[in-house]
Amino acid sequence: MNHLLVVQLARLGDLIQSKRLLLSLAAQPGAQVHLCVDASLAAFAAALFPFAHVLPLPAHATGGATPESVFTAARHTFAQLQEIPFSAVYTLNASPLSYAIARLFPPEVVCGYSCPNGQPMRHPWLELAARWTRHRLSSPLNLIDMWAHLHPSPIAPQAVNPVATPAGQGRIGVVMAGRAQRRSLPVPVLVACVEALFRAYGGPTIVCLGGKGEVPLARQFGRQLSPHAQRKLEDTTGRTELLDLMELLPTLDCLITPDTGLMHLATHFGVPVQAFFLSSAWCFETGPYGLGHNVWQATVPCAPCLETAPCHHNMACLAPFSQPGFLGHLAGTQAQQWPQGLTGYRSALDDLGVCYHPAHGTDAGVEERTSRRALLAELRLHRLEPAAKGAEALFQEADWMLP
Amino acid sequence: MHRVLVILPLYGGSLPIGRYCATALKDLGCLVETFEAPEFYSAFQALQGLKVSSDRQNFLENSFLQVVSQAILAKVEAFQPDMVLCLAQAPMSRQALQRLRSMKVPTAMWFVEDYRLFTYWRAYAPLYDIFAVIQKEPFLAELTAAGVANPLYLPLAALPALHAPTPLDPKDMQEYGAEVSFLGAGYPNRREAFARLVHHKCKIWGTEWEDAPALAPLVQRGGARISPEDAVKIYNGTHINLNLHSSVDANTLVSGGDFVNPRTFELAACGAFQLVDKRSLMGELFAEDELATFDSMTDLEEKIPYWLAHPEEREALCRKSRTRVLADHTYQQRMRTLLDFAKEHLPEFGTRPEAPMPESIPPAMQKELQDILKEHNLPAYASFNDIITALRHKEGVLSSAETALLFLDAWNTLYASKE
Repeated sequence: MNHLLVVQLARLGDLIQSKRLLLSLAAQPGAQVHLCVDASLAAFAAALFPFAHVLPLPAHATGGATPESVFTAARHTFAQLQEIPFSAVYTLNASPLSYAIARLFPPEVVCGYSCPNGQPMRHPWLELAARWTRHRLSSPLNLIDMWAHLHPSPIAPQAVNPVATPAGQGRIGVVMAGRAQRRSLPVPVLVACVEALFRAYGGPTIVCLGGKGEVPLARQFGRQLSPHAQRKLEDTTGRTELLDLMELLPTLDCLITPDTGLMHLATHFGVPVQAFFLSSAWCFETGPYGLGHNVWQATVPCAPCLETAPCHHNMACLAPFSQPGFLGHLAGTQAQQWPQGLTGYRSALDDLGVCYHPAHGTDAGVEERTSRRALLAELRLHRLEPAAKGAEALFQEADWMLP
Repeated sequence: MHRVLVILPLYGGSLPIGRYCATALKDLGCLVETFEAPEFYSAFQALQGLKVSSDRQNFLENSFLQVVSQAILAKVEAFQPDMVLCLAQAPMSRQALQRLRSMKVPTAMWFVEDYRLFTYWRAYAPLYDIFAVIQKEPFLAELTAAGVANPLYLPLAALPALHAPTPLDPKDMQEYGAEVSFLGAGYPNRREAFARLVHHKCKIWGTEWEDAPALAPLVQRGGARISPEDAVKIYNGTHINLNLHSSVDANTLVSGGDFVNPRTFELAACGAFQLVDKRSLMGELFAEDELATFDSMTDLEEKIPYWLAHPEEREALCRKSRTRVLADHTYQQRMRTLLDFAKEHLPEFGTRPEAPMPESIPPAMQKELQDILKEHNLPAYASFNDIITALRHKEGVLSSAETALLFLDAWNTLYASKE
């Protein structure tokens, strides 16, 4: 048996975005895939990726974790891991936790973030990724594909998620907020967008989704909806666990969401996504994967920004989402002019992975992004790409000269 | 527990001494890392072989040294030593030394060279917090005048774990054994002196004996560099080890200089017999009856036959000199002196906060923790940070317990400070 391990210690979204790599590994002859995740996500990961043997680690400071419990639990899992003769170990997070775990295995089997003889190292591919993500506007590859291409021959992008198709049950989901508040639409703006889509979908049931923290938001949201929409409201916030959502999401005709883990879970089931990306969220990095999704991406000059940096632009990226031209488009009326600072993208797939084509508005980074994507296609797909330009900006001397 | 980063030179005679210091510091319970400058030496040699203009050559060599210095600074940043100990010719740029001073990282140089020959010390000595030397006056006073805050006289020594009596098997005896031998570089005074001793069929070991036709038949292994391990075999296989201190002056063969060379201590620690030239600082390191000495070539030529004819007397003297070295002249003692000196003179030395062992180690893990301490030669009082540092620097695959400790440390870094 070919034992392969993926160590993914980040949160829900990143776990789901490891899917293409996991599927690629599972497709290898005689493969047994093992997956290390934070203990809080272990049951969910096992349900999401039933082919994988999931091992929990206390990677997050949740659930009353203490140093003693962390040490004991980690020691237990590491002892299990050392019993398995892995032929490859994929450590996906640039975190001191990943570097620590990498020490458990012979350096030659570790791919990703490794630490041979105590020297932290990035796989050349991840080194390249760190370089291209410094120029986010022209960022050429989605996170799912970045991880997937650690594998020499990842499965086809079309085989990752089903083509987005409405469930036909007259229900749309609304994710109240993501982890970063600035990346979510404020309630009045969200209400306007949902009302527009409510009209476009012919008055479906509106299912509010979120954890306990989103309960007040959902109440506020409900109060601001039109009476007609209020009558169709089904508030599930604070009452659903991840495993419940695995049953709920497939019943939806679409999911209205900021850049969240639930968005990625919806794409896993082929639920059409209407994604609202603003502030630091950038669809070319973490947009919905698969065919048939819409991304409404803020493209004001300061976007995408840094999540950790304060906004000195009075959240200018929010304004386009309230413009009549956009809301009219969402509702299907399209009478008004498309607003500045917003681009409507439609997800697409090519041989490299997911990409996004502008259907509305402008895309300032498209030329450079296309060139860079072609450079990456040459590198990973081993073929000539006439569009490949700007190699000197992406590749450095070390790529060319050093082993 | 003190952390010491030992910076080895790229090559040369102080290189093994640097390694002996690292070993001795470990024996004293320090957490030690060495900066392996010799691994960069081949790159330097490649630059030297370029056959380009001297200006360009000079520029490239300086650039190379800057890279190596930056590597040292990166190592300091990662290891966070209490002291950076450099051996003579350690590739540490002035800029790097200034950076360490601004970072309040104490630096020490053990300048195991003759200040009269290696005069570059003037440009560098004031940049070190401690400048240890193997000579006394007028050098110590001159160092103070040059702005060195903490000069220290620190004579050379031996490493008993290596420099020890070693019986040779017949094969080794064939190769290394001799009535009279000399091991060392072919300085001008030695070439001249040994040319007068060819009738003893002395074996000559070491480098830089080219262009000495009279000695050519005596030079072993074509003048190759001799490893410290082979040196011990040569010392142990020889009835009389000649130990003539080096001098660039071919007119004064027995120079009567001040410092005592490392070979004196190493031979003594091996329990090997030596005939060594008298030095002005020798009297405070060895008693008259602990070493067989000579003060002129005539004296040397007279004493060789005498000592060859009196093996019992040789053995008695060897026992005395070995006892003295083990008592007073080991690298462990020198490093203890250096650490004590640093404690006394450097306010920053040893002030790095020690993280106590967390209570998070379950009782069941205590045994494994003890095993980790033992394996890494760490004392029982080692702090959690020291253990983590040792694990980070360990080569190869870690055990599940070791990895769990690293994981816990990473977890603490990520979350503990935010609670």
